[in-house]
Amino acid sequence: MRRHESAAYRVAVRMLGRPADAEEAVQDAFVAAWRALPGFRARSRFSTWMHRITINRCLTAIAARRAAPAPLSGAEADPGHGPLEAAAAREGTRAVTAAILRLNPEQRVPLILRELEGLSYDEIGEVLDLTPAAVKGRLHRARLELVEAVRPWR
Amino acid sequence: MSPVDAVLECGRPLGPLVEQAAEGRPPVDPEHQAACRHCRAALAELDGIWTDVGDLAREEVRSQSDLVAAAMRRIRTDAGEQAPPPPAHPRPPVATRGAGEVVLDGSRGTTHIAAGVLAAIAGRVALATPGVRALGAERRGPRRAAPHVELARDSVAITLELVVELGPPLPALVAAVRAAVLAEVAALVGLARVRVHVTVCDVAVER
Repeated sequence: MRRHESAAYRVAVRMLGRPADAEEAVQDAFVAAWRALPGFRARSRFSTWMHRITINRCLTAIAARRAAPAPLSGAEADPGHGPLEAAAAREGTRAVTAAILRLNPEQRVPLILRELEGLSYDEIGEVLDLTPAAVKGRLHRARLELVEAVRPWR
Repeated sequence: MSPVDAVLECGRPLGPLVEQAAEGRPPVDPEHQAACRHCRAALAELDGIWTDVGDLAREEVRSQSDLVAAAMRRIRTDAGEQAPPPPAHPRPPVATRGAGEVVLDGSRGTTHIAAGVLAAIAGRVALATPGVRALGAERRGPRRAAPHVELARDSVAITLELVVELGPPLPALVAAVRAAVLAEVAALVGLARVRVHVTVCDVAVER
């Protein structure tokens, strides 16, 4: 379970931006995974399954932020000054981090799994229940949006 | 204009250049690219962006807190109250005994499944269970295959030895492992009369 912890946390931080939110999402994901274990089908890989649960928790958190009243929703609209941002040492990675947080979740997820976690198109398809072709399409769009978002910073 | 339709000053679409930079794909039109300053400028910019993406991917991201332990504490608080639900499979056929094999009788022939297959399934499922660190027998060398499978006349007993992490209540952890093994054996092999004996033989204490 430990080896899944760091991967889950990395993905959650990139998804949500704020470490505190990521920690909460990962804890929720582990609790959910443990409870759902009897239903786990070993034909999908455990890491894939864990990614799926973590991502679902993050998406729930993002949706909750949007539904929340003004003070909280501001964090999603302006993710550029979170603690993670401050921690990013270089200007370039900082710009990429902010740009990723501005992508809509549908594009953010495949981009993070491919570019930051190094999953194959097939693996991402398994996590998201998409064909590799659909993954490729979303990823391409996500990359173009990323380029668009990063350019003004450069 | 949507980024998807973005076009360079030379009339070429930006999309293929992005894939070229991101995935290291060969250029779609190498001759044009070599000659075109717009394409080369765009590519240089994209390569710069993907260098940053690569740097970000290599950046160490680590939580200050022990998230597994925190999750385990939460599970501990309310475990015991809810036993894992029984597998939702219809009653599969009952096994009969063979020599180290489970035999499934069918009208169009018999199917033999070696005990080792059941052991492999059980081991994989157990290891995938959060809270389980290792199969106990592994530590005693390869001599004793883990887990152990016993075949009786019309039932199967699988014996597992586990090294676990301290955190969740052990009966709840064992129940989760047992339910997962039973569900998997029922799903993959079609066996119903299976008993899963579990020994928690050690705890992992590091970290």
